[in-house]
Amino acid sequence: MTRYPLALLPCLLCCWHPATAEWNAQLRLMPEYHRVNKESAFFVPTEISGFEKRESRQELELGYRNGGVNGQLLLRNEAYSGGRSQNHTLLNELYWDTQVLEQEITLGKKVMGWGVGFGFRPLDVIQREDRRRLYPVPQEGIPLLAWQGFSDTGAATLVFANPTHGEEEQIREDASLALKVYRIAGEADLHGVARLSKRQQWEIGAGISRVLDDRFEWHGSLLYQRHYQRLINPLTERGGIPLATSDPLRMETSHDGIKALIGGSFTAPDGWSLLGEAWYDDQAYSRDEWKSLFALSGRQRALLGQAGIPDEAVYSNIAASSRYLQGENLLRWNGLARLAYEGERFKPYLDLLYTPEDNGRVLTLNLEYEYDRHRFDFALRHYGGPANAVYRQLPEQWVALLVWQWGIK
Amino acid sequence: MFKRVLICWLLTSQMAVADDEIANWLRQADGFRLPGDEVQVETEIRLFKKGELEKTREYTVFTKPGRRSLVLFRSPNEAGQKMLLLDDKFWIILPSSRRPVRITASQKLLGEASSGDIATLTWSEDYNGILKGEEEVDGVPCRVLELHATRKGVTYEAIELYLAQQDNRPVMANLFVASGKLAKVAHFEMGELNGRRQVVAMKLVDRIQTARITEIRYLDMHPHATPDKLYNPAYLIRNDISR
Repeated sequence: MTRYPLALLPCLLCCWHPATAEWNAQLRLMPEYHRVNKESAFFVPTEISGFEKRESRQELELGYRNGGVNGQLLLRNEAYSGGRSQNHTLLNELYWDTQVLEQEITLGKKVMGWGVGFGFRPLDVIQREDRRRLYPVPQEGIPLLAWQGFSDTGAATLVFANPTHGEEEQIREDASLALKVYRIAGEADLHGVARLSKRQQWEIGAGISRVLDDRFEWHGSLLYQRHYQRLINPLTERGGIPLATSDPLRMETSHDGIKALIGGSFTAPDGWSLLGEAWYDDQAYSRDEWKSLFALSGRQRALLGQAGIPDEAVYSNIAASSRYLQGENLLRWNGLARLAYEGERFKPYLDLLYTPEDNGRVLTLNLEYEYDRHRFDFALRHYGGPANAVYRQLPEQWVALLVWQWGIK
Repeated sequence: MFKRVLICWLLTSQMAVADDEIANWLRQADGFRLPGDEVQVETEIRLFKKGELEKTREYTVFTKPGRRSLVLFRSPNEAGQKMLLLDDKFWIILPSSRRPVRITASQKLLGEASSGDIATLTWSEDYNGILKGEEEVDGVPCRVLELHATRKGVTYEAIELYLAQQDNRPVMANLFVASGKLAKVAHFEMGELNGRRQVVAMKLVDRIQTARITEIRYLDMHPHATPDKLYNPAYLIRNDISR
């Protein structure tokens, strides 16, 4: 990944005009609180899992732009319970937007979001933003070479992502060719996307965003995937002793997947707004698949303390299954309602994510306060619903977060 | 009968002359705000609450005929944010998501300083008016124009505009939103910018949140030709626009 930024260094030097260079810097301090969910089907005691709760995150974000060269560097420190801390240096972006033979070209590592939607963006075929985060972190770009063409009412973008890669461990690192077409049709924006890669073969989708009047808009998007991948635990389908001696999860390829979203919003001139969305994702697990996994976890937990079976083996199998919780959507059907107010200083919002298949609920309250270059956020999230709801199986039940952001320059 | 027709014709033609004259006054007033058709404006906004400076924000605005404006947000907390206004259509790109999003007129108005106040620098393209009377404002004899929006998506549905009788420079304006409520009162400050006598600042006194005053100061304003593609929403993801 570091080869691309290095290749851009000559461009950076060519575009170096000290008089036009622009810098910006932001500092964020984020203490957080997690209440561990011991009722989870995948709960593993800390003394065995070695799991440490993150207690705070500190970030310094540095941005640079000059003559089409843009960069973003993130220095991050994470402090965990027990006094341990981790430092990361992330070059999120370094790219060059330029013209070659009057064609708009982009070269380098750049964030490329194509989705239409708020809670979920099916058309984000190049890279997917984690929309479940309580507080969003700056996204890391994808190495790419892109061409863009513009007309009076439209545009086309052709992207060769990860050009020197093949099929990699992570989908976002796979080499792929993607196309986006965009058109303004009166009060509507129309989007069309297509992506070709070795792993997922081809994906094709379309989206619309339409303004109805001064206050209402609606939007929708649909993506068809020829192939899509999910982690599957084969032990859910097997009898006998439900334990594996190595990682039991394997990647399974399925065919003809659909991701679809529809939503709308109302914004009053006084600052109140209401957003509603519903979406479906074939790549997420079905309620029956979760039930099988819960049953497996129960069978595994019943083996604890049995002679000849080390507890560590049982817990490592349970922990492996918990990777089902890392999916973009935990269940196929989802609904989101969000009430927000944008005031002079305070910008609170309350949102509810609902999974109708199991009545799971994620309630989030956020209060933002801004004063000149300082911004404070207090966020509180609760994972609720019936005891067997998927969101009740997350390793935490409550999360609270405080953020101080200072725009230094 | 002939007399009546003649009177009607005379009255109508009188109105038509008056309309032309008002349009001309508005163009002259616009001339005090913008030095040309295609302009780049460096703007500083200072927000005061109860007399205390609360926030300072910086913006670069590009305008082009056809009601096209592009606002680049320059302040540290907003760096990377852009807003595009094309006629009565609006898009925003936020640094966190990096994708242009179509927004409604109500969403455009949100935020501490309305993008309409920053990006809209002319009246003659958007409003029709009638002469309401004459009045003195701060010792300046003014003609009072009642303006009504001729297009959708304007920030203010109606404006009571006070132009100096001497040269039609804007002196004051009462700004009304669609509900008919007086939202803000604008006071215009004349000065010299790049050797040209023009409006150098606009003070907006909020009549709904009365303790709030917004001062929009034009730090630099000069003709700047920009390509049409700059006003394409898909172009917002590119970052090769130089200041």
